Amino acid sequence: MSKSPEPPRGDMSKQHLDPDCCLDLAAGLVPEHERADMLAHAGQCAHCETMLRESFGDRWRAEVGGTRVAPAAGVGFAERIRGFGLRRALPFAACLVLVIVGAALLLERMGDDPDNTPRLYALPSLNAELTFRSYEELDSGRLFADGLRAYQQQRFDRASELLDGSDVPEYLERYRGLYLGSALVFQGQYRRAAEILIPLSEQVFPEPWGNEARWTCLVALHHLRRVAQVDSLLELLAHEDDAVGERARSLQRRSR
Amino acid sequence: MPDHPDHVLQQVASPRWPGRLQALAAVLRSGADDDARRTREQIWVLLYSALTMCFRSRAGRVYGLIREDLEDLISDKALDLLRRLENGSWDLSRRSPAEIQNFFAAAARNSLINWGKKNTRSVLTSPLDLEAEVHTRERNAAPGCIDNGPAIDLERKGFANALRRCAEKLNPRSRKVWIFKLFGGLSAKEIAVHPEIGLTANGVDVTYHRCRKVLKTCMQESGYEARDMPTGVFVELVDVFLTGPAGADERKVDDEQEP
Repeated sequence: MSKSPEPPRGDMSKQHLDPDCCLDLAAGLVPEHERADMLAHAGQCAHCETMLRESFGDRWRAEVGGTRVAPAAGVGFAERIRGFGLRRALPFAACLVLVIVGAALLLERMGDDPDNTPRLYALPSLNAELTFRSYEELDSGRLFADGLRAYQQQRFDRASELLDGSDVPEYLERYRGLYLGSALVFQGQYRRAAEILIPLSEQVFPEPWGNEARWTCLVALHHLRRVAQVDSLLELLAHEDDAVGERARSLQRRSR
Repeated sequence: MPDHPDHVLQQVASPRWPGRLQALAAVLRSGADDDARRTREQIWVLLYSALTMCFRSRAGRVYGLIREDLEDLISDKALDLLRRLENGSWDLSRRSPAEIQNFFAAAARNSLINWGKKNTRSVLTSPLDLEAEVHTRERNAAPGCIDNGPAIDLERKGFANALRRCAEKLNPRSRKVWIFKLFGGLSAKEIAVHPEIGLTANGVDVTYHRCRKVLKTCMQESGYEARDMPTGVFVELVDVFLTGPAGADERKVDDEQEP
């Protein structure tokens, strides 16, 4: 066990566990007599007990990943086929390619499974003329207004073109990004859409735009197969008490 | 506090995990171990745990880094190190434990810096960043030790002992589900695929709620009401759940818990 360089207060702080020590404990690397002493301290120190809990949590999480680490993860393909000889390596490589292509096709089909694919919804309409604060801004933001109109007419390629090139005051910038991102998702440009929508999904919008922004972002991430981020957004939206929340809960039920 | 381990502080100067990692890496490289898969898993667990520890202490300073990003970064780095250990491009044999510790700290720091550069939404100095840093500093500087009187200490121990006795009534697998979720903060999906659990995510949720119900009833019978876990409960339970294989007698108790 090691200690903090400057114990903050009193005698109790002398025995604080540090993260390395907690890792050792969680990994079962500490001899029994020391372990008992350390646990005796952690049992009376909320700080050390919390660190110990985190270390055990890390270990359990690591054990989950440990079973998924493929054997010989570090041995490269070239290294593996070394000594095979070309005549044996080529059929092996051909089989490998077939397996990979098959797996990719299977994944593609699974990804497009209509039961698990979140449906994309158009954003609520926004009247640009009413959102500008002055006629001057309305004049300079004409492209933005036209872009919104094209979006509402479901001409998403035209909408993304106009919105991308429009210049709007700062207070409308997030709406421009939101409608542009949504138009891009409708066109299947998921990566670019995600780059725009991820930061927006963390911003505060008046509802229903906020949750619709998160849902649209979720759809883009789903197509990019960013499972962890999709799960995170889905969990967040499932707690919402509106139409988007209902969509999220429905998707969760289907996914199970 | 007469039972405080001052002597331990002098006896153990450096952590043990770097040495253990060295030993496992040597076994893996030599090919002497019959169960290479098991060795690889043990290395993975140590790599992942050590990296998580290093990343956690620094991640608070990176604005915009969400938990999922952090998990991805840790997994990528752990996998990279495992590969390098296996193909020999990362040799631990001549490193001191302190060097290994420093290497992990630098790896975490560099990964976070690289992540920050790639992600435009991250700002390394922001109000949130400062807030996180202050939080970390406060956490490091002012650990919440309890200096209770004997009466409170006795009550806390009583609660912990009662919960331990109640937890012993659960079968090992159910108990692990409960502990993984409550103390480890693992999600139902993570618990479901843990090698000692092997349930569906729904099964984990059902098991967890059954455990809570059983424990609540048992604690009420022991004269305790449900409340926040006092300090010491987790430590009290460590001995319970660290011993004994999961699943040995699960069927018996699971059947008892069926509604």
